[in-house]
Amino acid sequence: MTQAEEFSWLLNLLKNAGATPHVIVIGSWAEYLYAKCNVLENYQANLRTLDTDFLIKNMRLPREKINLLSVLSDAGCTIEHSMITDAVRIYTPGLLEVEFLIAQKGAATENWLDTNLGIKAPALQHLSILRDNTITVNYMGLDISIPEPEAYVLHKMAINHSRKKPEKKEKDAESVINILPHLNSERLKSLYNVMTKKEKRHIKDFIDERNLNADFL
Amino acid sequence: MSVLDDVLREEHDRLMSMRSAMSGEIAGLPQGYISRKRISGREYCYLQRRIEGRVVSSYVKHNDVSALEKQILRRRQLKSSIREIDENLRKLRRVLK
Repeated sequence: MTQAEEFSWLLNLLKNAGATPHVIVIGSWAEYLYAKCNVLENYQANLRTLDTDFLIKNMRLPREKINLLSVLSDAGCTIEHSMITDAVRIYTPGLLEVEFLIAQKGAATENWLDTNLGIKAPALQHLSILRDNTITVNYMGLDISIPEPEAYVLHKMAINHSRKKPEKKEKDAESVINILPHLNSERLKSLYNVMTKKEKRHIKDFIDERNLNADFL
Repeated sequence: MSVLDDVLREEHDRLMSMRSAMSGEIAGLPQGYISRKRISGREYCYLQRRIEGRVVSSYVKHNDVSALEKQILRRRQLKSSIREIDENLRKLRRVLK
């Protein structure tokens, strides 16, 4: 199976489990969908990696809990539980690594949240912009939520300074530079305006460091 | 180091983690295959496996056969995935040299 076929298989699995309405595809596969589903005209996505990230929209949905780990395991995925943290790594038979994340609430103290998808997800800062600004695309007959590209790029710029690995930092920066020319300035401006002071400062620093054209600032 | 090199190194590390996780799962799964024998009109199932070069046969209770077959199949699937991972690792290492 190709990577794209494996990704499609995974999405179908989530759909059959009733999970797709409750998750958002983020990361490099969101960029793939921007190109594949013609969200951005003439846009060519960067390299996709083997990791597939899903953002859980709401930890209390669906109302009827799903045991997604069990569904994934029964379908042939390898589930690895960390002995030290609450981390769970999921590998599909076709070698995709799947990760579920959730937006941190306020100045939260819990790093990992139990969700009604049956997955304990790491709660990370700055993800609310992705959760609150999504579009739905139809990919291989499935309705999938992905972040609005403007929200996606602002998020990447806001967190770039905190990326520990220099190579990830650079790869994210390349993604931003690749997508930026295709975005709607007005939409960028309206999303930027509701971000926190800190986030705006980090975005401004990102733009200045790379001498980018940012008329939305 | 180029962005491409970094992506490839990250993929290499990811494949190594996957391999480790799958090897861990295999370690808990039985080797061998189910052999079925008809004795005096009744079917008996045995788990046949090789231990230190010799074929060893263990009787499997009728109620346990289905679960055991699933485990054996799972082991085969994981071994196949690991072969694929190893092939991908070989290709990546050639490029990353």
